[in-house]
Amino acid sequence: MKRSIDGILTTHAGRLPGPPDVAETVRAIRQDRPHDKETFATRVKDTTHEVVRKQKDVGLNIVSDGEVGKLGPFYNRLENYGPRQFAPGEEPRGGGTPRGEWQLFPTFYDEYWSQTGGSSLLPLVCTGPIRYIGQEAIQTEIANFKAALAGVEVDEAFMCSVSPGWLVPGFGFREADFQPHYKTEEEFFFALAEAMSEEYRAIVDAGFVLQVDDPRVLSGWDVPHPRTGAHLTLEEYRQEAQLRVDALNHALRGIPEDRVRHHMCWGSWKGPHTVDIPLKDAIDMVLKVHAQAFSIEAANVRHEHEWKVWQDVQLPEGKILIPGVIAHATNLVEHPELVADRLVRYANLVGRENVIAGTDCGLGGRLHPEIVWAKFQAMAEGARLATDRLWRR
Amino acid sequence: MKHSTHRILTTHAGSLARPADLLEMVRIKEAGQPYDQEALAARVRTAVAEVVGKQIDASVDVVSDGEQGKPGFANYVKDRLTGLIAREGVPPRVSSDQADFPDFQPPEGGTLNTRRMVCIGPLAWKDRTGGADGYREFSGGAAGADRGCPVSKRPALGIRDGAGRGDAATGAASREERRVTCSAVPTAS
Repeated sequence: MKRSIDGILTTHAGRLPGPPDVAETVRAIRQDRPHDKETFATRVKDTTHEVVRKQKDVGLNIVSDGEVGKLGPFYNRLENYGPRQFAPGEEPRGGGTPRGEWQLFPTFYDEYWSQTGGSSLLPLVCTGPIRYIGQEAIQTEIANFKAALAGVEVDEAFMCSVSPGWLVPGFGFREADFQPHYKTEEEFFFALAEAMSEEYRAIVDAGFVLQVDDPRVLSGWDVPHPRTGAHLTLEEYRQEAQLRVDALNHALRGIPEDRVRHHMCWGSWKGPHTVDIPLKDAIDMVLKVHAQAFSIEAANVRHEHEWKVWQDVQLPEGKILIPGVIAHATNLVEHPELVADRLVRYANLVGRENVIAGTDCGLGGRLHPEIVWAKFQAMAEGARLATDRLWRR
Repeated sequence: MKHSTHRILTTHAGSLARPADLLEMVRIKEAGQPYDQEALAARVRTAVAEVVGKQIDASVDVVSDGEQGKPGFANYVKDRLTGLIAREGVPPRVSSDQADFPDFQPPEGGTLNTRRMVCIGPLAWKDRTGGADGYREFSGGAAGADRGCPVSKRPALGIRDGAGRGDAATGAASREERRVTCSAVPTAS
């Protein structure tokens, strides 16, 4: 995996904005509306090419395919795992997040989820042995990305997949949702890991860096205990998070660590985030993931201060930190000087060669496309300023 | 004015969220529809008291009236100065930021009346009660806060008459409003 040897490299969290017609067809497919499969396949291929070019043009070093044609939901790639109706008396999960905060800001969340559709997300249930069935989808994505990269010189290319922990909405999954096919939560998570490992290997075998998206390892904190309904204690949370880290490591076994980066954030919904778990309470577990680089949300008003965690936590030897220096939470475009300040701060703590500039989360679908590309330009410019300062050019 | 002598004092930029029913009353007034002046004034007074209480509860040291009765942070001056109107059909300004991001549509801000003001006659202070009524309630409501801070506008609101005399003229009229404002503010907690 490339690191910032001669200057601060830039990357992002994966998802990029595609053109409206592609997004509309993705919606149509999700809603089982008719669409022209051939036209869509061609548009995704062309769009992947466009977003690769654009990343290169704005000065990004480590690029992705932009996930422009990803159809989701993710469980489409797994056999015997999918949504079920709510049980009588069961509370809607609001996208698996965030119960405690919903109680603190009840009117805001009622309005927010009704506008964004988050509260209508159904719980998931395992209906038999879980198996990966996304072989064709991932190979198409790989082929599109390879074609898009032909003739485009970039430092490195990465593709995203999701962690086993992300596949389960909320900590404290109901036993009834995986039994009788799996006896324990641990068995269930390891089955998910086993299935997803096939996608991870496909990405790495194709020569790309694998980014494992794992926001739930943090955002899973704010959920009620499945049995008591009370908020999880820190100890309960850490047990649940540890199980997810263990399952992810099971999925990553045999994959060289330097081909893997791990991404986590506190969930990208635009809420107050006042009850997010502090980074210091989770970072030790996350650093045990068998990845070389760690991409962490760090560029917004709720989490920027957590750079100070690295005053006390040692980044293990050989690892790379990809702090978010660009936020998905605001339309304001970060000033390159601010980006540089953020990068220099991290470089001074963990070493300049161990820092790559990143984004808090995927920007595609979360910000207007014009703003996304302006933010990337600001990031590239900020990285140049930081490089000047850190390498005293 | 209080200084952060022993600890960092907190304040904010003035405008605070209005209750939905008051917002609706202001919207009706701004639309030029008939409305109950007394009911509006009474609701503004209770809203100011509520918003001052909330600021104190939230540990804000230097509180404001929250500009509860105003349609927006600037265009209210047309109700207080002669010679200004909010005219339909005046083309909006396009900032270079908007030009750089042409397809981006920011969500609606908190201002109810975004029509541009134009100067159609001599500027003078016309209505003392609009400000003073709210401030009277604010003076009482601010007890317990370190210091109150009703918001009034500096002259440069981007209003221009044809001869470029707008700022000087609104300046003279606004000084009068500030005099009224200051006499209503509690001087100490």
